Amino acid sequence: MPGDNPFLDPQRFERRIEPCIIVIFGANGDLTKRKLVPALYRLAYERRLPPGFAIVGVSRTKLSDDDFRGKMRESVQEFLENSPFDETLWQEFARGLYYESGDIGDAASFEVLGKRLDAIGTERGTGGNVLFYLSTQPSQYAPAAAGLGKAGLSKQDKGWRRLIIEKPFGHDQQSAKALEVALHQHFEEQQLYRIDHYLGKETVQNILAFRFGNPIFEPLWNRNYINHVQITAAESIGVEGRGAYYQEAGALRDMIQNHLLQVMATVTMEPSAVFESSAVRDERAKLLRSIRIWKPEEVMQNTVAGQYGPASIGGTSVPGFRQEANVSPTSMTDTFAAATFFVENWRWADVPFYIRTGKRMPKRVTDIAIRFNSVPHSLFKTITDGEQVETARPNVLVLRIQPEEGISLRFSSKQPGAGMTLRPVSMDFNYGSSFGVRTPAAYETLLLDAMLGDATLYTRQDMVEASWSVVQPILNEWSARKDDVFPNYDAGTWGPKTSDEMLARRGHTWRVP
Amino acid sequence: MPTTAVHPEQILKELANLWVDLGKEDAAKSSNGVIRACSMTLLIATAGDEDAESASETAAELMRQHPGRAISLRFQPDVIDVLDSRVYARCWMPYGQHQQLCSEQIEISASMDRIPDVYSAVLGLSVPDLPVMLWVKTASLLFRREFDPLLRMARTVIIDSSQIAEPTVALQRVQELIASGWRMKDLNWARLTIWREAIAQVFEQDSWRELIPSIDEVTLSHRGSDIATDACYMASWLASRLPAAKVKFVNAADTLNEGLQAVAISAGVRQASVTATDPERLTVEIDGMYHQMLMPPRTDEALLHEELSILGKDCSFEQSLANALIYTQ
Ligand SMILES: NC(=O)c1ccc[n+]([C@@H]2O[C@H](COP(=O)([O-])OP(=O)(O)OC[C@H]3O[C@@H](n4cnc5c(N)ncnc54)[C@H](OP(=O)(O)O)[C@@H]3O)[C@@H](O)[C@H]2O)c1
Repeated sequence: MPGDNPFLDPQRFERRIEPCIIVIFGANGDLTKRKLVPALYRLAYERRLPPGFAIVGVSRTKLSDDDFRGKMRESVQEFLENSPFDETLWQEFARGLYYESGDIGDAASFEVLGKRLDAIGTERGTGGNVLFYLSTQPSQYAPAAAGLGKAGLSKQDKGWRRLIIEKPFGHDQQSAKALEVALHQHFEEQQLYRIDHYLGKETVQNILAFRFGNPIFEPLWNRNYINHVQITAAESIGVEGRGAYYQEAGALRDMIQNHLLQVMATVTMEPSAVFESSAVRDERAKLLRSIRIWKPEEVMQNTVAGQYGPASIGGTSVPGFRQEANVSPTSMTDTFAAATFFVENWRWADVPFYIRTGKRMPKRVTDIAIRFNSVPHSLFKTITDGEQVETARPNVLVLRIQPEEGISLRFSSKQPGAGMTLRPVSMDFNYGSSFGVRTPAAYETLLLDAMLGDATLYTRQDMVEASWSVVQPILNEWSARKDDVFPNYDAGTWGPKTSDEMLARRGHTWRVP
Repeated sequence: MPTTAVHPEQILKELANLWVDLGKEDAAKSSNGVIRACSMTLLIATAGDEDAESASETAAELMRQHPGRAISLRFQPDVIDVLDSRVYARCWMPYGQHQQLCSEQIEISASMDRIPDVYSAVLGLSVPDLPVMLWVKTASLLFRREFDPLLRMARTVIIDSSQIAEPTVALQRVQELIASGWRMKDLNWARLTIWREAIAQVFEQDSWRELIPSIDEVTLSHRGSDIATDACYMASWLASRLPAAKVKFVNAADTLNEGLQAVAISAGVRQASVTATDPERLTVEIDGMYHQMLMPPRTDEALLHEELSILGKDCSFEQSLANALIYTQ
């Protein structure tokens, strides 16, 4: 085995990917067209893909290689963000695009695919390295893994074989376990890459840089200084044609079980000794296992489910969830979910973490607000309604993930003029405008990492299990409840009143992001 | 009316007023305020109006990625006793954002006899606690004795050795400054990045890494009859990694690109090459398989951006520079 490449210059250009083939199952679908192929084209544009790189699309629909190339060309032209379409580059990229029609349920398809991969591998010099991407409905994950395994395509005797799967990783704790068993029959854990595209976001990664690259914050990052933490992930849109899928999932499963618990873990985990995939993931997993699991009788006090009803937003009337296409008029699906969590360790004991997420909220925003303790002794009081009120407001540090990524710190400053009245001001760092450069899309980062064999930003089975352990008792109680009346919030608002009451029980209020 | 002195405190006050005005102007337009961002002081030394104008444009563009205070030092070699200053800000609205981003520029015009005054003024003008970079846009200034004190203001000095007619002289001066403790950066080295990246790609294949000890010939085609600094750097960089290779230079017949035209590597029957096929593209050939790479933009701004992104010591550059002189002729 030859040694490292002495021609690399990590200060100037990044590690190159070994020649390889990406096989996309579900190549005829939405994710392939909107995200995957545009991200791969963008990587080619950035000169990150090796010569000989190839993509093989697999779906049931019959298409020729050229049909597939034509379809993908349209998608790239339509969905490529922040970069020009270069005709010559496309021609070369398209030469590495192939299509193979086949059904995941049909064993013969995998035999045919295997032969095709051998031929393409020889033609393009990819040395047996293959990354399989399951961009299909979750029900196809286990059959696809079995098909690949039985046809010998998961064996790593010639080159590496990796398998990427998209969330959801199971519908509940039991099905997550069943999926794990099915995947592990044919693939080792190290071959599995479970995408949580939130972890691929530049700003989520920046949380680690902020925490562990700036020693002034770390001493404050614990129960002694932090009063509570609020994590908000709000969408202004409704279910947008994905009603059938969403009806089965709901906000708790769709957002909290995976993305938001991962974000919470990123904010609260201990620093790892080294910035390496397994070390970082060990710390994340450890944190997820430290989240208090609610007993059945505690669930309702600490969680809130909501569903939006019809409303008029700025003069436009929008339907309620039950009126959306492909949604049952009696659906009990949560389009809003809020929960209080506690982390049971020395650093975080008794600090509430409030998480909320929902559809049809007033705006699209994802952020994490860290609320520090109030001043221990009031100096700057003012008289309001005959009562003395402290004017120093607690510091709040907000880590904004979208849409305008950045960090802001609220602190108190003296109001100009006579008297000693304080008012809150905010110090703002804007990621996008401080570095005027384009940040890579989450799928670019994640695909690149999988090809490089770096799983830092991917979820591991123990993390999946840990977050299901937290979420399953909530789902159990929610499904058992009969008396809840949906809808319980109007489209265009910050969710049901019970969500405010959940915080009020601990003397807190939701901030307005 | 030209003043004959520059007062840093006065300039800083003018800058502060400028920010207040910008804030008010922006508030009147009811947007969300201006952001003042700063990551460094960039000193830009020029002689002659043409360089000064283009450098100031470049600095303004560069501020998008490396926001900071730009101090443009415009030297006027043919006059005496001139010293003047002005301040202004450049603002823009980043794509998709609601806040204007502004950065400040100070311009000091001076005759060479007033360099000591420029030095003392700049000491008071650089942004505290952040790095000071000096870009000697007019490379000939580096060879004037009077200019030496200005070098002391910065630890990092950026030049473009392609501007210096005599490659030997250029490389010697850069080596001399490194030996005296400066961190040097050469835009002509940054022009090679895409070439080096393409070559690194060849050696990502195990079979090519196995060939390293047996690669016996490397041919560099370049433009013009002299071997410019970029070709010397490339030769040195390759030679240090390919112990058995003889480096040959050939004068390219068709030149499609500034500087380097092609690099060919051979080990017996195995061949790999990187060739500029048009001004925007490199073609990489490995054992008969072709692959295109888009050339990133080669403007001063893009090259400076690359250099400024490397904060510490640039080991590859310093190593390649150390042996580059032997290839000058
Ligand atoms: N769309 C998004 O933005 C998004 C975002 C996050 C996560 N995801 C996840 O990503 C995955 C894919 O999403 P998607 O929206 O692209 O789904 P989709 O539009 O339903 O596409 C799936 C494709 O798979 C093919 N397919 C279905 N059954 C097959 C079978 N038995 N054998 C071979 N191919 C089959 C279908 O094409 P044929 O009819 O030609 O076979 C279909 O076009 C899902 O797990 C989803 O949850 C999607």
